[in-house]
Amino acid sequence: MKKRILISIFLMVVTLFAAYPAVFATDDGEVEMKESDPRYTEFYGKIIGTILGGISETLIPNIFNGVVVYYSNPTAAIEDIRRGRIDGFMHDLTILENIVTAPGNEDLEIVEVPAEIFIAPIGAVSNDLKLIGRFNAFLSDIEIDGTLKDMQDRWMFASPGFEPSMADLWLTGENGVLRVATTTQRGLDVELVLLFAKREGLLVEFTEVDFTALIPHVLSGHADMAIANISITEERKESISFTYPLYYDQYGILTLKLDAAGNAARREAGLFERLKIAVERNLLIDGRWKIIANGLGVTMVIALSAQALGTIFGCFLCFMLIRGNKFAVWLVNCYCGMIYGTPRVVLLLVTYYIIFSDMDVSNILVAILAFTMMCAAEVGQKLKSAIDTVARVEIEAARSLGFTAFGAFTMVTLPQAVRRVLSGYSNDFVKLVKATAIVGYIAIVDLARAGDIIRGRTYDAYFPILFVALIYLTFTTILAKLIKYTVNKINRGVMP
Amino acid sequence: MSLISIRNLEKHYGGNVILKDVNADIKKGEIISIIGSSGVGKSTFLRALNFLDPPTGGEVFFGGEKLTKQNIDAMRHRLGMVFQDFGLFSHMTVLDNLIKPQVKLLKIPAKEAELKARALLKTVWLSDRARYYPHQLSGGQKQRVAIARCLAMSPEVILFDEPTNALDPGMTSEVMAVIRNLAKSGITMLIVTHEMDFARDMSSRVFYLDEKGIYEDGSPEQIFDKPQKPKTRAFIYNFQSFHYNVPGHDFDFAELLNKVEDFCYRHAIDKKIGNRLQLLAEELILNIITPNYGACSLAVSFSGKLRAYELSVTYGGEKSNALAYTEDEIAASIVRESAKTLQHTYTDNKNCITATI
Repeated sequence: MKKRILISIFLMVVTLFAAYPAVFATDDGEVEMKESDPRYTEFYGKIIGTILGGISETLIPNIFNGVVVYYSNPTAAIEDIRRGRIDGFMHDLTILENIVTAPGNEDLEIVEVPAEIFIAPIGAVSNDLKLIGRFNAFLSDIEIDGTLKDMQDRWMFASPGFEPSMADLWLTGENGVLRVATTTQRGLDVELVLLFAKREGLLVEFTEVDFTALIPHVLSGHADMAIANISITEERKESISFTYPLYYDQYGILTLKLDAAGNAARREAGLFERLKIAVERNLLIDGRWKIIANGLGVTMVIALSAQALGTIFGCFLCFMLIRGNKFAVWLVNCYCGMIYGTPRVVLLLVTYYIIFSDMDVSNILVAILAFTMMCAAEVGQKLKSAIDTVARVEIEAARSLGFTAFGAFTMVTLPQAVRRVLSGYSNDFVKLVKATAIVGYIAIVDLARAGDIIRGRTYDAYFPILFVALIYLTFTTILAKLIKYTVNKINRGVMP
Repeated sequence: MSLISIRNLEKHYGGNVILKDVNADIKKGEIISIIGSSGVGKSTFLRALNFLDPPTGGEVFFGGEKLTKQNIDAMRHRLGMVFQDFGLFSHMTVLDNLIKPQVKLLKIPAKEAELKARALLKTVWLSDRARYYPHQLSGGQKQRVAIARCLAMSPEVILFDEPTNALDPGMTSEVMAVIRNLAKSGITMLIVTHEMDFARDMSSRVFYLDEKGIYEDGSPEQIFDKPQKPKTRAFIYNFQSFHYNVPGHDFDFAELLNKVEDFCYRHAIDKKIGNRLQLLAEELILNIITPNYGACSLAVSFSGKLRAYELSVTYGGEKSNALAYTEDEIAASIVRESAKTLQHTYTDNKNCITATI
């Protein structure tokens, strides 16, 4: 008994440590610095984070002799800086400027990597060489007339606290639609695309994806071009074509300010105060709550459609299992086996990138189809086993009364089988709703992705995620209760 | 004219032949008990008649019409069947169990069907359970409802497949009461049963099944009191007497007592006599014979001549009266006290001690 108490206390202390990083994380010592040494040399041999697939991957070990830690987005890196897990996060200055100027990040500062050490040319990518040609022509023109320099100045040298607004452009789109993949729908690169589209008379359809998905999106035909901080490298040139450089990206290292007192003061702001700020930043500014509301709508549409269609298709599969010949049964079992044996994410990606590659089908339809296939396999098998559990003597009794085989099926087997499947139905639907959280992988903004987007804009590691989780929880609980209530009404009195 | 005619009926599963060349004619109003050892094909025979397990050879005629896979669905409501495990539709109330088949199969309007259902429930004494679900009923009640459901179709024949096998004695009486009532109503019935009392008292005809067919067919008096053919005789005799082989070494004595008890119950043997039989068996076998003589066999029967129950234990070895030479004095005296007469014989190299009660 004593041992158990001790272990419980130990576990609680460990959990406390994990849950309050802001209080227990980094040390707040001060470092003596020589004025003569450039600051970036501090990071030689240190642990430095970078974006997965970014150019600093090679830069850090080669020039800085440092240890590389990979991230798929900056927010996670920022948290790790604060916790002391990494010494700094290397990325291009434009992004770092955005981060440092975001409210709540006053404890971070940028250490520039001088242009002599390293500078990265940034280009847009496309598979369509004609498009590249036209874009290059556009770039040359705006370089000559000075527009490019103006834009660069506006975006690259924004003072802290001032977020440049996107230029107001009226697109006519008489020549078609340009599908563009990007990481965030604001910034210099996005404005360049809009300007280009205006010139070409095109409408732009943006898709926000993770950095690593940018080039695959273009290669698989889901986007005509991708534009973000994609540095032009020889390796990338092997799979895709680049435009002329849009600009040259200087790199910097994001790190904690050495202002211990300031950091401490920031951390000590009360919980309620911080909550208020979090709500304002994440939900109210720019009407960001609408992103979440939209995302919730998308999640529900996908989940409900997939469940409905999946149930219908599942009934068909069940029918095949009962009345089909050996080959049909074997086929259905193979299908179900594949669905069960493959992770949902992989199934989704296969549906999107392989089955529907080069097809101009709405992503949401693709997602609905993928989840329909998963749901159908489950419903089909569950219905079949429910049918098998109906007492044989009841069917024999029905037959001996004079019911035909079909009559006995509808009178005896089906009502009982359906009741049995229904009792787990609410659970299955809730699982489906949760499973849809992966559709972000194919560039759909569902509830989970909405949280991610907000996180990408505010660099707040806690609130968006917790808020989204809360919404999921609320909705799934309500839905589950609703379904259970309906099922109970149907099953009233009858033993399951 | 026969209601049911069976010609050269055959049923086999794969290479296994259960029934071969079975012929019978069943007239309207007959009540036929189908008896025989387990596994001899009684249920198979019954289920072949309504094509639940269609025959693999031969023909069945019902009301002059030959039954085929095509017309069987339409004919079945005239041939009701009652199952050992009831077969009530578990997702419907008792009342709906009776109403739905009428409405769906006989196209009787709902109101009329309900009236008929309630009337039938009354005849099986279950009017107050109309709105119950099957899982809320006892076994006997379920079977009564099952019979009522059969009757709702106004069948000409009812086939009973071991209707009381799953029931304890109390519930068995419930159901037998219903069946006896039915018998009086003149409906034709075929009953596969182990209830020999019913077979003897209520049936008009008995089929004894053996050797892949109807081995002997006659009135209850003929079959039970004067069985003609050897196997029938052995069955009746076996049914009327009890045999048990004791292996001699560690055997399940509790099982033996259980079987004796069972035998006493089935033959409604007086409790006192039953107790004495058990006591005799215990003392004789366990304490006197098995320790010294090893394996033996026990037989219990009712002797009409002596008008007394006879218990005999047969064992091998040289001629020797185990009772006289036993060291267990207590056991020996108990045996002598419990039995009316005691006798030791030695025939065919076998010792036999016989006691009468």
